[in-house]
Amino acid sequence: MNIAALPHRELRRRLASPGLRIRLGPIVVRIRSPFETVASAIRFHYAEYAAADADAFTDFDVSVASAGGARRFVKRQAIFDFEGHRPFRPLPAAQAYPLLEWGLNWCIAANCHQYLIVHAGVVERAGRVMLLPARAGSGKSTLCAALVTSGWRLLSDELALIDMASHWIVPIPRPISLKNASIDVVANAWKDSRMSAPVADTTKGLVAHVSAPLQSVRRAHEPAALGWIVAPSFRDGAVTELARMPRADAFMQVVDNAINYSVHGRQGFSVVADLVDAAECFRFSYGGRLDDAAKCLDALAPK
Amino acid sequence: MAHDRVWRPTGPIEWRKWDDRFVVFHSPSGDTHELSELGGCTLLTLAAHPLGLGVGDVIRRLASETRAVTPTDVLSVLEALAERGLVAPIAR
Repeated sequence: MNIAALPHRELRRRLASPGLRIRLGPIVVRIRSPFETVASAIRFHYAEYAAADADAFTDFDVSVASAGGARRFVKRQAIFDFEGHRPFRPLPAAQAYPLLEWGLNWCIAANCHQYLIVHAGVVERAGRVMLLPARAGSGKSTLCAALVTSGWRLLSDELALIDMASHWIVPIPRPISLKNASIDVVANAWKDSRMSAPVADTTKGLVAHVSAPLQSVRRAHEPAALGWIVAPSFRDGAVTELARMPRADAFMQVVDNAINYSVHGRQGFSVVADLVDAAECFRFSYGGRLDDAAKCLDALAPK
Repeated sequence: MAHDRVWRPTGPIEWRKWDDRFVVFHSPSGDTHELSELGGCTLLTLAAHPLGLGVGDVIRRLASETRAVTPTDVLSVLEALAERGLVAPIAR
């Protein structure tokens, strides 16, 4: 059963008490939260995701609850909790849903060590994955949105899960997180996108989420092999340019953005080296129109 | 004298070479390094001789396998590798 099939009252009941179990690619999360904004955002962004059975194994048991303490009498706050761990400070209640998304990212990055995890956007076309490894602020989520609009499948805008044995990339499509100016850029370029109302004054500025396309959600069980490593960099007004990148640079780009590289030691080195051997490697700078950026990368994988 | 020293690798490594650059995984530290061609070739030469080699031996092996280099070049590379903990000098 999909989340969409749950009446809103039932959705809120599950979020309030036993927890709402959602299958996100290879993992199942159980979410609890009393916030209506969280319930509404889940209904909006996760409608087509499978609601896992009550007896399904749960990878992450999380909550976004009302924070205690004296501040709650002044202004309601939300706190993210993962089995007693509270990796973030309480945030204003208006940020409860973004906090859930950030918390899920943290859970995956800190715990899914069966994968090599790279901070990267990941899209796929014609059976080949494009890995976009980059630090925050380099425009990878915006670029993911542009590529998805152009027909690429979204595997993730944030975390690449690389299977250690096969070296295939495992999808975990979730809402694309946009910040500040990129919100309007994507809204203008992708007219039929499903974007939730922006939330202001977060630690990242203004944030909004765009739902993963339905086809990406439906194909969340289909991993794919790497085709390209593309290191993106966004600079306002920059000319769109795709240039070959030396493999040693591509290797270091992936390692520098691999969240749990040190956990995997020698095997991690071999996996990244094998990926670099198998991929075509590029640097990509952009800063103008999003459709130009997508068109340039589309040329690597004609439909 | 630095030229008199014997140099040895500090542990096993994994490596790859693309074009003229190496990337190296140093097992004891878990660190990954990017090296120039001369740096990589020097490290591989020492890795094949875990008991150590003098600078002259390193130069001879590099010259026979890849390229001619000066003692100053090699010493400078060995010191740079030592700074990264990849090799270490031992007393003769």
